[in-house]
Amino acid sequence: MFDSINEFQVWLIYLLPLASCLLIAAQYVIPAPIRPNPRSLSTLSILLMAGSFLLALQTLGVVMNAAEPGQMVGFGEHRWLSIAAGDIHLDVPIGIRLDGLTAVMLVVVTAVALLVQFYSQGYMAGDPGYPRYYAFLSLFTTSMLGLVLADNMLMLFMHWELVGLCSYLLIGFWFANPARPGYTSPAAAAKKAFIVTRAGDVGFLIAILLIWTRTHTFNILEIQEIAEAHRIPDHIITLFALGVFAGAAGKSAQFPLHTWLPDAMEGPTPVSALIHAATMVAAGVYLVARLFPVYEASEQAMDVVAIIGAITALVAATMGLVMRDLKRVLAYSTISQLGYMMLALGVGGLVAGIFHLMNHAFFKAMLFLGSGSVNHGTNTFDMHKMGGLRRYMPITFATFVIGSLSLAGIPPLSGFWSKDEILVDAWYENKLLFAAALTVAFMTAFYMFRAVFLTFFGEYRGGEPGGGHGGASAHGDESHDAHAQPDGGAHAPAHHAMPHESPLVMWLPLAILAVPSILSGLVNAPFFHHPFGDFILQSVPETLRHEPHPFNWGIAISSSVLAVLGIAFAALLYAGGRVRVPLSLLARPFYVLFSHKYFLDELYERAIVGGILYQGVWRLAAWFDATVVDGAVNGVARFTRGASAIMRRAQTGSEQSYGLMLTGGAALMVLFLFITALR
Amino acid sequence: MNPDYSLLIPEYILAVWAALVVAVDVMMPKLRRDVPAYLAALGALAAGIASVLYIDVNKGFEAIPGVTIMHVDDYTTYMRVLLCGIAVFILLMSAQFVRMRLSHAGEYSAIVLVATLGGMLMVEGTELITSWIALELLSFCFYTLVSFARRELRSNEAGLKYMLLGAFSTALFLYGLSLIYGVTGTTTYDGIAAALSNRGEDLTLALVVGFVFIIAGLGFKVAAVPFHMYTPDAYQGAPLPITAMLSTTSKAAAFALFFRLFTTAFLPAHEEWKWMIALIAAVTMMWGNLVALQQTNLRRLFAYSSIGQVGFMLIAVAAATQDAGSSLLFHMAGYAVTNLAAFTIIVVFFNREGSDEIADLAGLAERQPFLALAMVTALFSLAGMPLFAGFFTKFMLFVSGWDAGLEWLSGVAVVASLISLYYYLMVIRQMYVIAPRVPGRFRTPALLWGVIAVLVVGVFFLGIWPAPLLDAADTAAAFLFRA
Amino acid sequence: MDGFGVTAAFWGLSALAVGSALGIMLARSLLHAVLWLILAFAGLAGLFVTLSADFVAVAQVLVYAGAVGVLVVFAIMLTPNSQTGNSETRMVGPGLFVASVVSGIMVYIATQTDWSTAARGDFPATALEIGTALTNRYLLPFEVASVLLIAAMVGAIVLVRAARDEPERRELAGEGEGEVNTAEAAGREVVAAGSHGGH
Repeated sequence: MFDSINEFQVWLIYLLPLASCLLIAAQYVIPAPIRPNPRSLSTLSILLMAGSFLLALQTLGVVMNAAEPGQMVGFGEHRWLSIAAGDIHLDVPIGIRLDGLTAVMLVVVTAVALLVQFYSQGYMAGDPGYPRYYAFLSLFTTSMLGLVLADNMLMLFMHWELVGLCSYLLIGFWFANPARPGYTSPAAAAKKAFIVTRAGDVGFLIAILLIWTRTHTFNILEIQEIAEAHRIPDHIITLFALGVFAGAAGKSAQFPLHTWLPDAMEGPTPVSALIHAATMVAAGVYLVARLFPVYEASEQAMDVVAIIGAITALVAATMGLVMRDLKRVLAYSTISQLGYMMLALGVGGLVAGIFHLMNHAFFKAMLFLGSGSVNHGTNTFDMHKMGGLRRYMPITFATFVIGSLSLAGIPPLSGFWSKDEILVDAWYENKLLFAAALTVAFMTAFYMFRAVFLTFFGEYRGGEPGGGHGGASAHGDESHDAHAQPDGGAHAPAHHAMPHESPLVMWLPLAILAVPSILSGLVNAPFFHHPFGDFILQSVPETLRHEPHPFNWGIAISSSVLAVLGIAFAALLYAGGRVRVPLSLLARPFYVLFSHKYFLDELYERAIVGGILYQGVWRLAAWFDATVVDGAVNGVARFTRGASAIMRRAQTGSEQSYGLMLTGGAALMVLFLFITALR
Repeated sequence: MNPDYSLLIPEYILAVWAALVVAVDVMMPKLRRDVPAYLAALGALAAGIASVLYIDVNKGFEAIPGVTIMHVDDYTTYMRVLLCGIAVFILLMSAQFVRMRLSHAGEYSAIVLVATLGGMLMVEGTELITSWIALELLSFCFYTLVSFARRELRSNEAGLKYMLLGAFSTALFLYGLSLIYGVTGTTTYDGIAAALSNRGEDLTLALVVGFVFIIAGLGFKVAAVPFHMYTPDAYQGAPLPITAMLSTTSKAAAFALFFRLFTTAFLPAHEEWKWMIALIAAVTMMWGNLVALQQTNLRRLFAYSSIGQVGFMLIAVAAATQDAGSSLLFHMAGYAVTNLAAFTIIVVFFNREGSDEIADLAGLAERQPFLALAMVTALFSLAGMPLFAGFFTKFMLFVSGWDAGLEWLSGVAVVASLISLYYYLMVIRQMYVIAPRVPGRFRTPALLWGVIAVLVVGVFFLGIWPAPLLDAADTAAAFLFRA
Repeated sequence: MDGFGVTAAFWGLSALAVGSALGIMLARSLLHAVLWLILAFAGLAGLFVTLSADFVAVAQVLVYAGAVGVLVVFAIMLTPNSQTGNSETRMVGPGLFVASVVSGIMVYIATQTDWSTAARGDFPATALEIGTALTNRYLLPFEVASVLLIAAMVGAIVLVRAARDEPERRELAGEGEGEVNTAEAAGREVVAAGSHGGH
């Protein structure tokens, strides 16, 4: 079974979720009364997703069984279209690039997508847009798989944009809901996510065009080879790498384009788990990893990646310290961890970055799903209204703690191994970056356990009556309706006085995700001789395959100690279940700074958008638009209409005039000819 | 040695089938009046299938040894299949229309087949007299078809105008041919090319004036400005399916002849006629698209829009390179599919409402969403929006013009293309924004629904995955430039 | 065939042909125009003779001057209600201009071009040559021409003869009355448009 795989099977991984999306979309053609039951649609979607997952596993198996584990399995390219005109010869192929990196990503994406779809059966039950939700999820999965499978930049970019579109659709899934007090509305959040990531995508697109004009290829492998051999000028490579990184920074929410991700939390929580924790936001990291040889060819680009990564990790971690909203803590944590991955790639740690990506996908998805479960029980994400949930929701509690420990980097959980590798790579590259990474490790442990203590320890502080967060209700009116329960009224609303454990469909995925969260770190453990590393490194040319740095006990112990310290500190401050936030009293100015997200949103919206743009540039632009542009446009329009009206008169309807015009035209040409010929 | 008559099987099929259709119609007077059209569509289909068999056959039809008056090659095959395909769709959209509005159902379908036959011969001809006779065959069929709605004065008027001006343009065309013959002493394309290249730089004025007259004659057939004047009247007066046919079969065949003649026979004198065609192209695309802005009648709008499209296609003739050839063939196919879709929709609407005014399309999106959506697809494709067939086909045309040193012309084409978007959007606005004048939904007949669906899928197919057709067009065009 | 007689005949016949052509344009009555047309055909036939194209000349006399001319006269006689006068047009000035430009160019070209006549040798007997060409080299175009004639004939019949079959729009459309009215109204508009011109 794991000997070989044909190309169609690999395409099937991609096509199955697409089929599910199309089938669900197609059922909307059927008149409403006889449409299939939403449940059957989600079952169908989950089954197709499971098929996709199994195929992904088989693919992974095949790649592992290859002569050199992780070696690229070659499939031919298919011509999609070809434009040949003179010097320009534009061949746009579609094809699959299958190697260790792809195989790992395939399994991660399909696994998390499968679990999220399964989980959503509970979380989204009873939502009027239930089938639509599954169609979007399936479309997202397809796009993400296409992104991972693509062997050329154009196919990658198309799926990159599709992923962005799906993210927009899913963040704004409850587009009719009003904003929660103090937060943005889902519709506005979706818009913000789309626009901010677009800003980065412009850079990405420019990079693709730039590289095409220089190399006349879109093929990733060829671009890698060209860059590695320095067959194009170094500054082009750097520009290309930076352009791609701009796109990656947008999608992966790197500083300063990170502001959309916290707001994206207004989408359904399973969506946050899938898109904004495990897969899409990791796409930026994947992209940089995919083009790693290009980055290796440009010192400056690597530095930029590392520095931006480090800044993002630090800034986001500090903001995570002070959030009241459980999902926001996780969101900032995600940003911070993505920065961590970028940092790893920037210091040359391809394996460490991808390793962390994989581990993070599992435990962060679990944490998000856990927060969804908490929301399901309490109807709120506000940690100040939770507390003591470990008694009511034991499974959620256990899995959440496992996830937090893993994220904090406590050995031997998975997060420890990958974080340790990143630290080691940073240590050998740049001590300053190492220090930043270590600081982040401490803060991560602290804020995660602050969340754990506030949520699960102490006394229950009442939650929120009814769908405060609008769990499953899609329409504005209903979101205030206490009867709209996330689980579709399986429980009578009055019983919500006390939180309760979520149904099986929701805790089962949590339990399943707990396994890789504990164990997935072992695949690259030093005492197994880094099999994962060898596997991933097959995706880059041989010259770039560094020996892994030896396991450094000093770093391992110091980071673990720091993590334990962070937990202890959190326990000290919050374990009693005290709601008061002593930290804010200790360091008021920092608290203000952190809780206002470094005033970045304010900077963007008030200073840049409001002040400079609106007052200055936009006023100027408005004036320019009103007088010059409008004048020109209107002028052109008036001229066009005028010319059109005059020309129309030539059409008199009289036969003689037609004949005259016919001959006259020929005569005019001949006359012109004469004049030029007799010159 | 006898010429190889087996090369012309598709033509025989069409001719015999046309006779058959008339015979059936005469002998079975009780036959329902849409049957001849379906029968004829079958014949066109058969001819199309027979044409496919000639893929990779590259053989001349030598009337006497050494004189090739026709050539069956990939270029011919591509155009034969295209023309037969067009005929099938025209006949399918005609069936209901003829039944409801025209008499002489059998003759109608037969003449459509014969017109297609004429078009195919135009594509094949490699000798001036043969090509001219073929051109006349096509033209005579159209003179009849345009005036087929005998009871309607508009149709009679259009037919008469078309015929008189057609005769006039034929005279010009023949005059051009005689000048060319006078200078080169031969009528075969190969012979003319040889004579022209032997003359070297020394090209006489007679030759160039001959080009002008030939361009005028062919310009009339393809409706290039200033030889286009009959177009709006003919488009408006002709029975609707014939309008569709005028804009597809007539143009495709004339352009095929145009391109073959100018890139094989006249290529050595390229510099002499390049600027003429480029000039006409520029004037045509601007004129067509500008005047279209003022139209209130859907058919006149499409007439001017088709004139604009002719301007785009002339770029390829002016460029006269292999890339231009492949993009011309590609554009023709894309344009045919799109236009057939649009006209099938108009036919459905006209069958139902008896109107072809743009204003009467108001609220179509409410009354018949499928038609409105399909129409939007067709219009977007004509305007050259990405994802639709028109984008790629136009893009290729413009690029080929650019590469052939006609940068300014490609620039003008882009501007004209932008202008065209405006009036296409006006139609879309009518359908989607304006409230319907007559309330109530109506249904599209199943067959035409299917036809429209197939064509719309075709529009998207060409827009999203153009590679197969582009390959075919490239192979076909390569043949003309094999030397 | 080069001598004073031929040259004189050429000029005389040319004058006849061109003069009659002008007569067609200028004649007030349609019947007169047709008579001028027949004369022009005859002049052309004469020109063909001077060019040694005797077969074409005979065909010209028989078919055009004879058959076609008579046919047109009959047509005019049989349709007494049609308008036989020559309507006014404002196109005379521009028409003259264009015509003189074109003819000037033609004359210039005809006289200036090296037609390489010497290389062509003598003209053989044309009847035989044409016969051979039509059954040999131009056999296929000849066949195509026959298809053309049949198609044209069928077309003429369609346009002239009463139909065996009639449109069924009343039964099909359901709102027949309204539609016929629209069609008629459209027809009336055409009458108006015909004189003023469509837009």
